[in-house]
Amino acid sequence: MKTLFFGDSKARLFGAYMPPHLALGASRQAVLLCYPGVQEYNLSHWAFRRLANLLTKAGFPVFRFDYFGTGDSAGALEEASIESWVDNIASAAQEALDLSGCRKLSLVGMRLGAALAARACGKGLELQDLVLWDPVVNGRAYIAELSALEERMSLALLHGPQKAVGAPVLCGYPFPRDLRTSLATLDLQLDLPTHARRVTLVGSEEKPAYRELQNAWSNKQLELCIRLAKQPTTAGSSQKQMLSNEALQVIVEQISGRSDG
Amino acid sequence: MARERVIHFGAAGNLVGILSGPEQVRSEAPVFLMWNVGLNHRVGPFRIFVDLARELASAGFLSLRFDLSGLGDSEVANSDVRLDGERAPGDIRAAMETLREQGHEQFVLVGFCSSVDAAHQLTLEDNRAVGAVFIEGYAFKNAGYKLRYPLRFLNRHRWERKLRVLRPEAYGLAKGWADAVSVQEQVYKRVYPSAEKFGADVRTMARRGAQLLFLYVGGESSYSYRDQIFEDTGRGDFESHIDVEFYPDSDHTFFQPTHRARAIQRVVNWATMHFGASRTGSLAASDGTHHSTFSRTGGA
Repeated sequence: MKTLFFGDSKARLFGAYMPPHLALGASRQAVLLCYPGVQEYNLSHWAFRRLANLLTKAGFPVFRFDYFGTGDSAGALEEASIESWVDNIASAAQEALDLSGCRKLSLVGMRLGAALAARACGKGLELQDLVLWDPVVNGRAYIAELSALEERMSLALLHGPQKAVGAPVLCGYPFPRDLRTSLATLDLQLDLPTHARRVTLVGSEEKPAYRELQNAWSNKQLELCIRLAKQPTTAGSSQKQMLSNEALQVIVEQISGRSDG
Repeated sequence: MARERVIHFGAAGNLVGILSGPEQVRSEAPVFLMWNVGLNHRVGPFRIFVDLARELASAGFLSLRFDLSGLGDSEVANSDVRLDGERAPGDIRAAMETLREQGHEQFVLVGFCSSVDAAHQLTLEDNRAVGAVFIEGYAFKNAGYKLRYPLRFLNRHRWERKLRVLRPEAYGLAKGWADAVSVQEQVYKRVYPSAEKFGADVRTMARRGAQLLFLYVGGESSYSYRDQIFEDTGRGDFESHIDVEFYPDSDHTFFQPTHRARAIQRVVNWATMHFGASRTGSLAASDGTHHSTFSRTGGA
């Protein structure tokens, strides 16, 4: 594994690159992994490392990174925005191609990472496969979900039943108004990933929002394949649930099935 | 602002860490070491170790936050046949060795919850550990704790929670909601030393000159008043090496950002008081850029 800081010198991002297991024959396609939102980041880190391992064993070089203001990357969350994170994905995509020497890229985004990836793809990021893993379909609904979780966590941790709506804190992290406003603009029905050759939604459970998204995209001549992997990975789930084997297998199958390698 | 760079170390180069510090590091100032809390990777719960590292850098201290073998981004070396309990102290010593090669001889170990185990062991055994921060470390339900136990029922938030657990439907909550989020408060089951051994160990650490900072919280903890620790350690000449802070309004993982900031500031103030680095204009601000090395100076 090669770990490094990359990107804009004033806002360096942390990344981890894993080359493919060459014994199986390397793919000409790299895979970029996009973490979920900050409150789910720690829970998903181990799952992402496992996913990266599985993909390298299947012959793919893999790059994962921390958004600005998260993980080991520069900055504080208060300084981040959805726009900067979408730009981070474009920057990480180029880094993945440079490090791997590949000319083609696939991307797996989880939860918020899926919504950010779809927007990046709509803005011109060329992808072979885009895998939306338990995606945040709508930013406003996501904020409402996080607000409810914040309230439950505050209660459980004896901080009282405070209402988080509008608060500058969400799920234990600073969440300023600007970030909240930009997060509310996310909407997968509008953020069409038009530069992906194939888009697959891997869901841990059947949700009406997924079918609605599929129909909305179908009306715009964009195909969305939905595959279910049963272990839940939604906000507030435990570390145990984040260690979903089935979802990882489904994702590797999906990427491998499309490999040009 | 801190300058940060990635380092790989350990016998097989399998351990990954982020070295964070000011532009000019005093070689005699101790380096702060932080590693995994439970299954969290090196950034710590709610990114607390990143924030702590950057605040320490602003105060003139170098720190290394890293992943133990098999956790976070660190692999288990193929040749590694150690038991799990041996890995953490061994990996921390490997971090010390790597930094010693760069001229750093003294260290402060930052343990948080489960990572207190290794911090305690090494501060006891290794003279290079000139200080330790124990965040939510060992606590024992001694007489003072039991005496004050009923006071926790004066906390109205405890009753608000109880009502919502008993009658979730009345508050628009799903049945079992508390179980679903309780993982945030989960404490990994570990083998604690006895209260007597803990007290003796702390006295030994302090008497050999190590500076010790203990941070405890309220909530569901086994700690209920600021000086509870002295019921286990006793009182004596070693006390001048012990600082204790008790935050009754904080929870085990410092869920509230303001509570984390308060704890971080406490650690930085303690570090500055005991180990001398200070916030000065000569410490060049940076942006987390990738540098091949940090420069060192011989004195403050």
